[in-house]
Amino acid sequence: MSKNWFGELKNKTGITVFTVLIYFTGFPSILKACAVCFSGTEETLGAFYLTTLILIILPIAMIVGVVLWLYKKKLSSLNHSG
Amino acid sequence: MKWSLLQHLLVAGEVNLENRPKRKPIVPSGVFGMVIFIITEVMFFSGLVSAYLIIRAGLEEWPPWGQPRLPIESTAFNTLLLIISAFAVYQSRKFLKNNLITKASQFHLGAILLGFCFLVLQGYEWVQLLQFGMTLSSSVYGALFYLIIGAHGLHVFGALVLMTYGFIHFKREKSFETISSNLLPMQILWYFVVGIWPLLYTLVYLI
Amino acid sequence: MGQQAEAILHETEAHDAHHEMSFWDKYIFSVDHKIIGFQYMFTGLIMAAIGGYFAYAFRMQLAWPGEEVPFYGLVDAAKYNMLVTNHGTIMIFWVAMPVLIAAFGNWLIPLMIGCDDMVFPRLNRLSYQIFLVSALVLILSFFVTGGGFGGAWTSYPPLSAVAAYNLTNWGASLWLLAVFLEIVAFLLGGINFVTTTMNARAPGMGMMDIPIVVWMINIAVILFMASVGPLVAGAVMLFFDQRLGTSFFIPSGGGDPLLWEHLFWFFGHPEVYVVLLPTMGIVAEIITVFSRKKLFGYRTILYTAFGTGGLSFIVWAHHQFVAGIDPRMANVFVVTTILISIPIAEMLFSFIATLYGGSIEFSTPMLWALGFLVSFLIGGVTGIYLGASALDVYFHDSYFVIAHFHYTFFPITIIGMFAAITYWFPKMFGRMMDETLNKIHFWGTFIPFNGLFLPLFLVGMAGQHRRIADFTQYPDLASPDLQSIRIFATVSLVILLLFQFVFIYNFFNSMFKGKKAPLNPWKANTLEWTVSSPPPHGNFAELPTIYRGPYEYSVPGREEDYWPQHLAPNQ
Repeated sequence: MSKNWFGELKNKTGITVFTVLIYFTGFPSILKACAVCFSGTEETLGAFYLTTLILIILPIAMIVGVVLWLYKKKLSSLNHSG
Repeated sequence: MKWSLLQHLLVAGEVNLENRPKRKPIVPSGVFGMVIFIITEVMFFSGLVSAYLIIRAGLEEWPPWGQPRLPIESTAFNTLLLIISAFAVYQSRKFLKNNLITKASQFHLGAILLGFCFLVLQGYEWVQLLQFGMTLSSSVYGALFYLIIGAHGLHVFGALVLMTYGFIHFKREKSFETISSNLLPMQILWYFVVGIWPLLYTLVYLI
Repeated sequence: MGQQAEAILHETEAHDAHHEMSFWDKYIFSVDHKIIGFQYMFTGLIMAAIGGYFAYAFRMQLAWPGEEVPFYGLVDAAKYNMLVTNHGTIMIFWVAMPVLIAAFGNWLIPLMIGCDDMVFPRLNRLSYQIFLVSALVLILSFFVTGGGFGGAWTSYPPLSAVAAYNLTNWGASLWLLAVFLEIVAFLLGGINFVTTTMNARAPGMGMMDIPIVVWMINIAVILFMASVGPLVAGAVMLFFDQRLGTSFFIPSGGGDPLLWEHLFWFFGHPEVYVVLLPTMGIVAEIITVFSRKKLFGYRTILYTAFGTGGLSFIVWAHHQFVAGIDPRMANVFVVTTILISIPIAEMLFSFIATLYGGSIEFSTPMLWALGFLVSFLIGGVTGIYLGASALDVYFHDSYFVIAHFHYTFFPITIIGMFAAITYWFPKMFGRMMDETLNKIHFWGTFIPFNGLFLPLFLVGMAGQHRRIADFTQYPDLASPDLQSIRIFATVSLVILLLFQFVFIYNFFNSMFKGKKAPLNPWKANTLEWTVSSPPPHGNFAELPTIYRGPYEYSVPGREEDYWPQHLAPNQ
């Protein structure tokens, strides 16, 4: 039993990784230790999340869209000539 | 002596450019350039929209106390005008495809006039809002309104100038294919300007 | 080959006699892509001189605080702020972008893909004219009352938005206007680049036959186009805050100062890759030619560049780890930030694999390219520390950050620029550069560059903050140990700047009096080496047809070790 997942070395690293992950994903506000940090309300944070998402998705989606459009055009032009 | 040295320094002579084979690109250069420009424009407006969402989320009262409400109904009519103008452009393209140049030019002109009406009504709305005490510096509410709607208005104006300039193609060119390909970039810009308006209207006026 | 070039020369001279253009039409209001490229390049070089001069002034102040700086005068706190702000702005917006993207993009793209000119030549000219105006507006901002803007190149509000805080009422607005115009100029230029590459390639040139540098410039331009919008929106809003009394970024009026960082860095971080990728392309060209080997992993490099482009949109919040963003969001951005080092590292590995086993010739362009690899590696590796939010809390705004981004930006901008200029000089001006002076210039730049920025890592780790003009007021930072490190860095900077005069002399001397360059001095494959040097208007006497990719070096069973793209398979 002490040789597999709960083995001496694996146990320690496993638990450390697990704890760190929990802290990082679950309770990051505990890590909020800087003196200058002030984020208005929860709504502002939500708006920042939303706009971050918009700003991330839009350019990538548009570029991929244009590339696909060109690819389709190219295919159809090949079909026409050949 | 030095002068003649300079004359051949950066560019030596010229090449005869006649008899170059014509290229047939998948997408015409004008259209492709306009598509890239519109990507930038979409990002510009998404920047404005981000600003709107974040600033609005930070304020408790929206619209702030003492600021007038925006006229939803009259602007809805205005929105309708803009959408009809996009359909007019679409019809104009259709006529052009069938080689009906006069009809196409009429619809093109109609689209320009509708866009112009939109601008005038929008300007009238601004004058009224200013009279009600909503200015750029009266609150962030007013500032955001004038910024976003004004940015869109400037785009409408710019696109209208281009479309009006494009109108001369009907007079000058003979072949409907040339007219069609010359007009397409500006028409794409017009579709973009029209297409983004309902989004801004919903964002700024409705919610 | 040689005879053909002779024929072109004769023909063009005869042609020239018919139709002599005035000096103005030929060099100032030209629509020729090469002239516009030169205009961008020379403007960029002049701005680089101004930026270097500013760096000299504030580094002298840091080394010997409170003393009069020779050739500048006294640097007080306000002037110090103005100097660092405009040094950063100039180096990024008026040197890196115009030289790497606009100048070499303009000059190289049509020549390398085999067409006569850009597809929108007049738009191209307009682009340069707006750029010139933007540079003049920026220079004007140094001379208005209150002096130039001093709120750092990131120009965080409310400092930048309220004249009562920054004390540069007009300087701040003119600075903003200049940045805005500069961006508009590059938008016009960028549309041109992508459309030209898309639509005007020589017959036979498929997507995978385009030289890496052209690809890289195009990817950079697309990144720029897709990321600049929010900054333009933010710049307009900041301008309104300054001049029209709105309060988008002023908390007392209901605005949000974090919003500016949000919009600014959304552009600001892709911008790093916008300037990095062209240099990567230039280095790829040079390394392949001087290793006499096929480029290792053309497609790999291309796909990693796409990956870098995609990832570059999702890393920007790492600039705001201590600005008060949600820590949950910060965690996501730590992961993406460290992720983006993978494609870049892969690209560098490709270059190293190209070098491996090649017959390397240490000419000056190759030295610059290798210098780029070495120093950019240091810049990239230190970036991994800064990308982790826990470490960033300590390192933020320290000289460690300064050293890190100078180890990325200096190789990208200055080393990349010199690599490109020394490599393409024979084609640009039809004459060879003096190799000895070039090598003196290389070592005289490369060694002081390390002498300048390596010590800054140390003072950064000791806690030196980046926005302090005079450290004597801070007992911990004014210790003689730290001060001697600062003096060492400043002396290195002065040596570095002095060695640039070697380059200036060599540049102009070679331009007028250098040895005549052969058509293809480096025995390279790409198309620009097939035209006469300097290339005529319209570039190619006969439109080339492309038969193979650009990196066929040392092909087995061929007499010569290079195989130009335009030669038919039986030639």
